[in-house]
Amino acid sequence: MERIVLHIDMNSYFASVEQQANPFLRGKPIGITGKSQERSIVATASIEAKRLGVKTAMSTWEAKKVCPSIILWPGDPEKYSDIMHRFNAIYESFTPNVEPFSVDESFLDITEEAEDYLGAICMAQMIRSRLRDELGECITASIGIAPNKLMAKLASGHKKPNGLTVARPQDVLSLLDECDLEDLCGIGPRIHERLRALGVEMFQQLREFPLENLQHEFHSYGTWLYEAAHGRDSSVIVSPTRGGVRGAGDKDTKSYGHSYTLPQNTDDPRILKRYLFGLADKVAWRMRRDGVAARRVTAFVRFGNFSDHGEQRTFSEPVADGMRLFQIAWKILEPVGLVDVRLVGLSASLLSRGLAQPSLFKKERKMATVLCALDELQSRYGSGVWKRGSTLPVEFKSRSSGFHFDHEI
Amino acid sequence: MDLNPPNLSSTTTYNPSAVPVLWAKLLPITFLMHELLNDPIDVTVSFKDNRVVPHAMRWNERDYKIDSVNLVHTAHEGTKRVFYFSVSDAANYFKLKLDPEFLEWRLVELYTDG
Repeated sequence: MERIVLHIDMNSYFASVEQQANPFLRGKPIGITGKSQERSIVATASIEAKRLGVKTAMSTWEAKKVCPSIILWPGDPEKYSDIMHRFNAIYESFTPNVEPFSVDESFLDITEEAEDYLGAICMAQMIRSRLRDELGECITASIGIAPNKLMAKLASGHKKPNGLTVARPQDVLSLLDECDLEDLCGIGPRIHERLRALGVEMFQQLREFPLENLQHEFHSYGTWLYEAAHGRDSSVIVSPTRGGVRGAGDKDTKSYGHSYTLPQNTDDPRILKRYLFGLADKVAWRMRRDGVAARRVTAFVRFGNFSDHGEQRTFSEPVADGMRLFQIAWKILEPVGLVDVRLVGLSASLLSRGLAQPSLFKKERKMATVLCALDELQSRYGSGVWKRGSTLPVEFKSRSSGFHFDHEI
Repeated sequence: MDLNPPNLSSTTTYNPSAVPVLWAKLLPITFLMHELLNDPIDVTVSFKDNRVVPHAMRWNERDYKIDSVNLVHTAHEGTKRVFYFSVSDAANYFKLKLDPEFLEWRLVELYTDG
């Protein structure tokens, strides 16, 4: 039986949530950024900003240059996550076969529920209506309906914003022929460049290209390209509620990491240590929460000229303590000439289940007990309930003495 | 006296008090102000269909009538679930936080456009 798959993509998701929350942002070009707007990027541009030339992942200074009237607005990940759960709950009221693909995209297999393409269109309109009623009129979605996930995603991107594109099996090839190669999920700039070098500029040419030659050039990916060019995709919808869960503590998690763009570039090792230690504590907390420990630490920096440097260390004893992670990471970074550093980051990998073995040393055992207590506090009251003194910024108070007791700092 | 108009665009965030009064009267200036706060407030609410609907709030000894509840979302602070209400009147956007454990309301964000 031919499947019917819906791909629902929220339009300018973060920006439209903010425009829904704050009516004074509606109809204006806005860009959702990180907390520090000066050195951030535009994570999502509103539909109005996109019309004025602002693109996703543009740096804020570039966005300001392209669109001086843009309002840069700090993002609120918890809000977006909550709304994401709500729209996925709406989808699940139509079918249990829902696969969240990203924070603002989901696939729905509605073969049984919709029965045919007319039913699928009705269902798509009902979903759209529920989204408007329950989330608000600013939060809109583009929907693609097709016989498989790949084509449904291509269809949803065909008409934006707030579009509905139906590609029945007999329409799939004509939809492909209307699109550029890079519009297809799975063909990025590099693959596109290699295809162009082979003289393939359009899907029709890709379909006519011999499969053997594609396999010779791209190995197993060549088969995928060939199938995709014919609008074929056999991947199934993996619903989290049916055992396909991906998230915190997932056994597929390969690594835990954090990075931070500093408010100003710095050469000061004390500042770098402070941020690196904070990142190490964050990584360690997430690992302990998920009951894993790491045997590899990767530390990396980005310099003012946007060049990167990163190295890793592998060790035998699994670690899930922020202090230890920091010490290893700092040993990696210290010998590097830390001049004009823009970003610092750390990740832990080679994960093993179960926490690290208790230490033989009393001091370390005591520290492990303290960490246990702190973890309980953090679980109960949330992140930010405790911080190491050494990760706090040092604040020199202005001189208050009037008796010449103050001294040079 | 500097008679040049201040260099203002409609989306610049700045302190209205820094604008010379003369120019503020003469020019069609839009003041945008975005503040993050954490002030306890009093809120008048109704309970309808298992939902809390805020209608008015008192902040800084001033009453504000809430014209529209634009979005409600939740967040976790540890094991505690708190509610955020994005509301607005004719000139202000307010983000209100309700802590259901202590039944405490706080104004956490203010955006003024007027």
